[in-house]
Amino acid sequence: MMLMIRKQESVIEQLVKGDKSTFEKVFHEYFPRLYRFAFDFVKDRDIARELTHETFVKLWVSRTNLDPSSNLNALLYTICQHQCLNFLKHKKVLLKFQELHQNGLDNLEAQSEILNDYNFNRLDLEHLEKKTYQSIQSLPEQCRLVFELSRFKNLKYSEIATTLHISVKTVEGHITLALKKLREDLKDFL
Amino acid sequence: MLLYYKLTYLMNDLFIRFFNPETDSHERNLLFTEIRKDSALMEEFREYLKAWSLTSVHHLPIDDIDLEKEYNILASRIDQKQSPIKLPYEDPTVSLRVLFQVAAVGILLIAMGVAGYYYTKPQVKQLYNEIATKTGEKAQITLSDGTKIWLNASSKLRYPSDMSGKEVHVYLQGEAYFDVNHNEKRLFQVHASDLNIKVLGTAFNVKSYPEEKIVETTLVRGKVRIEGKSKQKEDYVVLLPNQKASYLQSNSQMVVTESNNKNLQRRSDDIPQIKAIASLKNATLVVSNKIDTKFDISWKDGKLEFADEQFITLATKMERWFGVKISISDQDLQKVRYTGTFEKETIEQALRALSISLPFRFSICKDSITIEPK
Repeated sequence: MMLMIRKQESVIEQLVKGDKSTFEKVFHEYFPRLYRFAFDFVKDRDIARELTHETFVKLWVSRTNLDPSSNLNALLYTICQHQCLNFLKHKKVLLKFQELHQNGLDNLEAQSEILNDYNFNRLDLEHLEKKTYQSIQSLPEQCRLVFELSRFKNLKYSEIATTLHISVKTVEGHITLALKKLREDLKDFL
Repeated sequence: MLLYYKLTYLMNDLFIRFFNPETDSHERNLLFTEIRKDSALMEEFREYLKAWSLTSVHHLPIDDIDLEKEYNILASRIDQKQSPIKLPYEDPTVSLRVLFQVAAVGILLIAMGVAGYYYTKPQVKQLYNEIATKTGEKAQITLSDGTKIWLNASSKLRYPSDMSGKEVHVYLQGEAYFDVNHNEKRLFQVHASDLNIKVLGTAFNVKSYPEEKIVETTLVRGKVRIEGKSKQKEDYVVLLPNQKASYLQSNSQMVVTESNNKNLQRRSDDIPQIKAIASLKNATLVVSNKIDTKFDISWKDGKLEFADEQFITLATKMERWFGVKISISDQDLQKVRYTGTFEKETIEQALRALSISLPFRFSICKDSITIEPK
């Protein structure tokens, strides 16, 4: 990872040249992150997967126009953010068309607002990654485990409770603690 | 500890439910509407949501996606985008590639034919025996090679009558304890749900009741290798003594738990392998003193042991053990936790014992038992 960051400028240069192996490396490194990010907003595995794919297609198609001095992290996250925003917009139109209840529509609006609020060009993603890692690492052992199973393995609370032989209430307690810690530690980024 | 409870208490219940994948989109909408009514609450929620989504930058991989496969899909999509107007036969490079593919398929077919010939030639049709237990029943069989198998209640096992082959396949539905005779030249394989458990000489327990949607493998001694059905190289875990692998069928996740019971000393050369499990793509290693694998296997010695177990899951075990149907409709009663052992007790004695710590009423009508709060 560190190697990648140091070489980031040349990574974009290599992409501009149309280097497929660099593109493949970038794909492997960023797909999980972007997929997770998209999933948070669209809440559907297949759609999140599709949007992440589309992000990389966009990167490849526009590679010759990339500014070598731009930040790859920010670039990818921004493309993905716009993919998600477009999807939410599309979903809003569908909901309006089907004249479903107002609740769903309002919430899509709020979700889009939150998503729109990110400015990845200002966000220091390397610093953020380090902070996130430290914050999760500093949690009590069981709490960290519960959070990782929930956040990164997408397990339901009841499934975590069954596998760890604890109650759902305890799982909720751990998630609460982890979220509080993260909100505190990542304050500069919120 | 005090700080922990204080924090738990302060978190809004609406938030915690929002982050649970169990919450469906309709309920999530309702939660959202509720949160939005209070602008201060909404602001707080916005921060939590943002903190949560920012952790997406974490370097941990995702399990349910095969990156190699995804990249191949993407690569072929990109190739199509680059030449949107060209039809396959107009592009010489493509037709050449197609030609290669056709040639490759041809070679593969020939290879398969040759392999198929060698594989099918010496094979004799294998005869299988089946043994099944009803609720409240247990069975023990010894196979012709000395391998012992205990079958718990409501379970079914298919095993070959001839054990002399290089591979022995047994098929399990329900719960069984295997004590496999050591034989280095032979592969003993247990098929349970979506998993294949490959064994050398070893003793282990497999629990795979269809209604429970979770397959648990507990290893007592030796070593087993558990493989998924996907046939992917990295889709396996190796289990060491005192470890338990729980496979959740709903999302194909594997979690390995290990009790840090000091009485069971591990050989020093086993230690690197623990690390290997922890770093495996499809498994998470959990070490906990709350887990004791002995509870998973005491049934074969005629004991129903349970520790800190909710009444609702204990009831399922008791149903199989005593051959009864138990219904507990009260939610609070379902969640009461019990620790204990039943050995020679009748169902009535067992229920009476349970009702001592927290009084409940029970009525027995033939094989059906109804439990109600007092």
